[in-house]
Amino acid sequence: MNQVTKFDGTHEDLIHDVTFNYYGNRLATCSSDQKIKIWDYNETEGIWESNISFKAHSCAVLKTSWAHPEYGQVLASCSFDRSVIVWEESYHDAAKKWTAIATLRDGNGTVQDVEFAPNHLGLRLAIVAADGQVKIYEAMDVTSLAHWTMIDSFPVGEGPSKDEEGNHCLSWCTSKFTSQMMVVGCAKDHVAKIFRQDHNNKWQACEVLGGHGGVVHDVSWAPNMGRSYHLIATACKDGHVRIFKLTDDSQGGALTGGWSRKMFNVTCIADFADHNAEVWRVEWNITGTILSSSGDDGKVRLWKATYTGDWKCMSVVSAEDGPSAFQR
Amino acid sequence: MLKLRKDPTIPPSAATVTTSTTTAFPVSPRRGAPAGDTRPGAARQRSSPKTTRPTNPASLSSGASTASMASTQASSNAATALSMPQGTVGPITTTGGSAGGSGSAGTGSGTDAFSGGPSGSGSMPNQQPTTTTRQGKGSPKTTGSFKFDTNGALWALSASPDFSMVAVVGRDVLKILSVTDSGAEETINLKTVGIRNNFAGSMDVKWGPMIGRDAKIATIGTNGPIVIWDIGTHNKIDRTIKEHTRSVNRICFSPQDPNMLLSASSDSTVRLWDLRARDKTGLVMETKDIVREVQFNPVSMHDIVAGYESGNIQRWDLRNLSISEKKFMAHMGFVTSLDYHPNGRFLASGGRDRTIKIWDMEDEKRREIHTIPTIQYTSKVQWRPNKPYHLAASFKDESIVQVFDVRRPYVPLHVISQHDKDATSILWRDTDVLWTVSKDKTFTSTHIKGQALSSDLLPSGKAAMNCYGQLAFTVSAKGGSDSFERDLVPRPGRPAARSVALDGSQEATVYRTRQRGGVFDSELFNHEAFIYCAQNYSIETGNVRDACEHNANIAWQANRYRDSQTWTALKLFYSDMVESALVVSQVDATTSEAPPQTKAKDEEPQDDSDSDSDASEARIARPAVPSLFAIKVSDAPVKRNWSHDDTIRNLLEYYAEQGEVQMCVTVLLVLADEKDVPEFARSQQWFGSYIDLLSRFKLWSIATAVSQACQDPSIHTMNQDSTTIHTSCSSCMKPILTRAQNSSGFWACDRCRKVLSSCSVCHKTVRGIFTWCTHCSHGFHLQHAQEWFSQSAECPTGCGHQCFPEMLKIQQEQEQLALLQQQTPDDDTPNDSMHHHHHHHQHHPRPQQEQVSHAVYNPIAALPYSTFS
Repeated sequence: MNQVTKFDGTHEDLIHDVTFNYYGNRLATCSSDQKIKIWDYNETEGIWESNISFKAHSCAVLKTSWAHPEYGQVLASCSFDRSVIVWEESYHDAAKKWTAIATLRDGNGTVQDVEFAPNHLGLRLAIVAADGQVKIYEAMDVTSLAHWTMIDSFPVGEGPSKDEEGNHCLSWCTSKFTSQMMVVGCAKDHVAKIFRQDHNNKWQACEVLGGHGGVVHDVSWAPNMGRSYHLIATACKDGHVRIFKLTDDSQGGALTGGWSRKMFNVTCIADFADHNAEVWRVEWNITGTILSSSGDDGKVRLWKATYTGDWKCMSVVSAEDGPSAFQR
Repeated sequence: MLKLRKDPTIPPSAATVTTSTTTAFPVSPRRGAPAGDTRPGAARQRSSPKTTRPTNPASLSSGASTASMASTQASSNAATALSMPQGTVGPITTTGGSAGGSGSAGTGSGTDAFSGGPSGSGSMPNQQPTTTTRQGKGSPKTTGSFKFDTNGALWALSASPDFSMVAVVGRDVLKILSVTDSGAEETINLKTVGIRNNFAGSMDVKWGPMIGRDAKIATIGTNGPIVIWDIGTHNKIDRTIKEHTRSVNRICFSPQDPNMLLSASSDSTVRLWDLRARDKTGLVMETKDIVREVQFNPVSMHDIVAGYESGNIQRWDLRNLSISEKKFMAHMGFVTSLDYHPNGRFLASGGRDRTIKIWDMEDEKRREIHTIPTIQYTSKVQWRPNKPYHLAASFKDESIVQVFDVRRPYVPLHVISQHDKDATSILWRDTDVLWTVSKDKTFTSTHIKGQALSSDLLPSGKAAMNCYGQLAFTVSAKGGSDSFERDLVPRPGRPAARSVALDGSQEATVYRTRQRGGVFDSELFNHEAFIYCAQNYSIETGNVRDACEHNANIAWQANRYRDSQTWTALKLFYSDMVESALVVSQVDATTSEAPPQTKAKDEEPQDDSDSDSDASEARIARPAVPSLFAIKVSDAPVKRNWSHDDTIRNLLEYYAEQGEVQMCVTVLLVLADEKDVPEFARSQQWFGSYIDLLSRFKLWSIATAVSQACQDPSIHTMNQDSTTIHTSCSSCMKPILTRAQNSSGFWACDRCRKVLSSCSVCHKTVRGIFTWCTHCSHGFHLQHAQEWFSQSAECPTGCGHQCFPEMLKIQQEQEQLALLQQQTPDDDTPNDSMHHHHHHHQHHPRPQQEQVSHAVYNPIAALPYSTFS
């Protein structure tokens, strides 16, 4: 156990996303070299092995997302080539193979983020493209994932966006007992917004997470785990990592269902400039207690709340050249 | 083309000559001018490229003269010419102004441009355009970007040798624009002339290398033929070439000899036209393949290269067509675009297979040096002047144009998205300014320095954590604008022939990302403790005290000391006996009061005499805590008379804040039957999250137990909700879904319209127990099956299957038995016959038999009837 598996040199260009599956025993890396690589955890050796690498898109693959395993081994990827592809692992003559079973391509511009909805909503997929449209697709027939129907579409901001105006990103709220929610980073407005379904199942822009000094590169909604509040982290071009706390504002309605445009009081409870360079990604651990952020300074920083509720940097991960692999 | 663009590197002296000659011209330099008379002769002389042009007073030919001289130079010299510093663009513009003037001498505006261009002294009245240009040069990088709307979708462009003019064409556009650094303006519209000759537009256009009065452009008319336009003096059609029997796909002027034009056609020929020999058919190069693309080598004038529909590329030597080189397979699918590197050695080709490949034409083995996979197939590819590794490409059905460094094939240097619709063609004006035309009707000039590096827009790192506390990450420190050069490494372990540097340096290099990353165990989540507790915690509600004690031990063993203390405290709260609390305090008192030495002494004899209870009693009594002992004696139950409501609330809220749903849920379950446990609005979330966590560790049976133990209905029924059973049509295997619109429900298949689960005897749907033969899979009402198979062994559908071979046997045996009984009655036979009879009724003939017919529980039938009716 506790061996280090290195990614170095496994892709021909930058790796843009690293995602674990639901069980944490598989890993997908995707890169500008247009390929996706699947890694499996070898429990006996304690190392990660990559057995499959396949050309996924005709441009850089930006992000990947694993579907809940109840639908099989299903992965979605998005790319500069303006498409989202749903991949499924299949077996041919005892050999594993990833097959593109559906290609979603009706957007204008790079698809900048893709994420499967929490499992209790069914097999759904939210994507956001450079044109500033969030689209939600659903697989109508979970026995064959070839057909996806767009069940919702809404713009993140006023007016259309263009590719060069920066990045959009989204993150679902995984809480099971609230109305459907997600947080979306709105490129040109330098904010992230919470979108929520109203009583007519129409997605509405609600609370705004402001205070950003640049494009929001990434958002991540922490798993709620039954806390009395929600946490959302943002990664910003201005070099800051921010954590927003969403506390119940409506009279008992926020976390138990019901709808209003303002359900939460949003407070920024942490704002770190430690990276001192563009911050690209933020991601929570499965219990929503530790936040990871990665930036152009070549470091991954891990953040955790102290017992008094203050968020502190608990460790810095970097990869040094040479045999000494990782420093914490 | 490429070189010519650089050629007008007229030294300042030449510029002076230009100016002086221009002033020698009349303001309106018509055909009457003496220079005009000398030109044809000069052109004729130039037919031999080695001939140095006479020092003709014609100012405007100086650029062309430099061109022909440069053409005879070796490639290295050509490269020198290419690397002419940006500052020399100034003179180019000067010449450009004059060329524009002469090219459009017939029009008023042209005259303005002409007079204004060369006269830097400002002696002419109309010098506005040139002045603007000069100012543009003075403020670098802010200019060079503009857009010009031509009112028609554009397909191709070609610039005059000095880049002061550009011809843009489309299906119904034939225009010549004069271009400065800050904008473009329409100078000539050839459409009316075209319409008179039955074409309104053009597929491709090429500007001849001649400037001034001999300036010519060639277009491929939308009606087929190649049209040569004389735009130096008149805007008229000079010649129409109709020899090609099928459509012409590409035309190309010789960069050295302005009268030589190549054409590539779908009639499987490449033809070389000498524009002076008007009546003669040109040289014909026959192939067996549709020719998509043709280009002259910019250095070696006899060398041409053609790209074919089949994906082949072939080089020809114009001096000896019989020894055309062997074709080589370059692409899967047709060749869409070719461009010779300015050094004449390397060739870039774009193919239908969505790749751009770089070939070393001096390597006989014809292996690509670089391959760039592209978003779509290229419509046009062109090397960037002065940057030996850079090229730009436009793509089929794409509005973007990309600039690549061929050493980094996957990430373009720049992505230029200036157009709303497909960018159809591109042209480098110089190192930093790229001209594009698009179906959005615009001609656009883009200064590359104003474009973001696309690698700066790409995420450099990401970290992810799994439920085992492993951290997977990639990191990359961005090192400023020179990071690309820094990341170039020697090309590893390739055959020598492929390790060719395009810039002439010794060592070929490739881009290597400096990104690092991996997976390691960060120990951020103690999954072993979580799993151990999940597997061993008691969630029994019956005996709170025992469950708490058990769980305290489990937590202790999992090194969760705080949790263990919590359980101990809970045990105290919910124990019926106060006694236990006192025992704990007593033990605490003992350990705290007794000095360690004393304790150690006391324990030693204990080991010696384990069974001696009296001795141990005495030892316990020895510590002097009489007050506590007095209470211990009374074993009477003491009722609690205080509530733990607030304590429990705070406790669980605390754990919830920490994300410790395991504690929240286990405590709630253990205390489920206690009366004073507060209600928690968020207990649903705690259960949901805990069950989700358990599933991540594949602890499904524990998840189920937790779900079953929960009294909240939404959690309790979770298992039922998440299980879906689909039934499929037996003939077409389509799943039967009642959700779909116009569905016929469960009784008929939506695709093949067949009635589902019908009885083979009565052909009606079986709405009850469905019986079927597992071999031929025909089904029946149970009763019908019984009736049928009591008569026959064969399937009632007529499929020929003996569904009941046993039936035959049974019948035969029974008959035999009957016979036997008649003959010799035996004690055992009734039992046997009973046995068979039993089988018959149950439709379970002999279990060990393979072909068995079963009466099987039908899941459909178990669903509420309202669903199907």
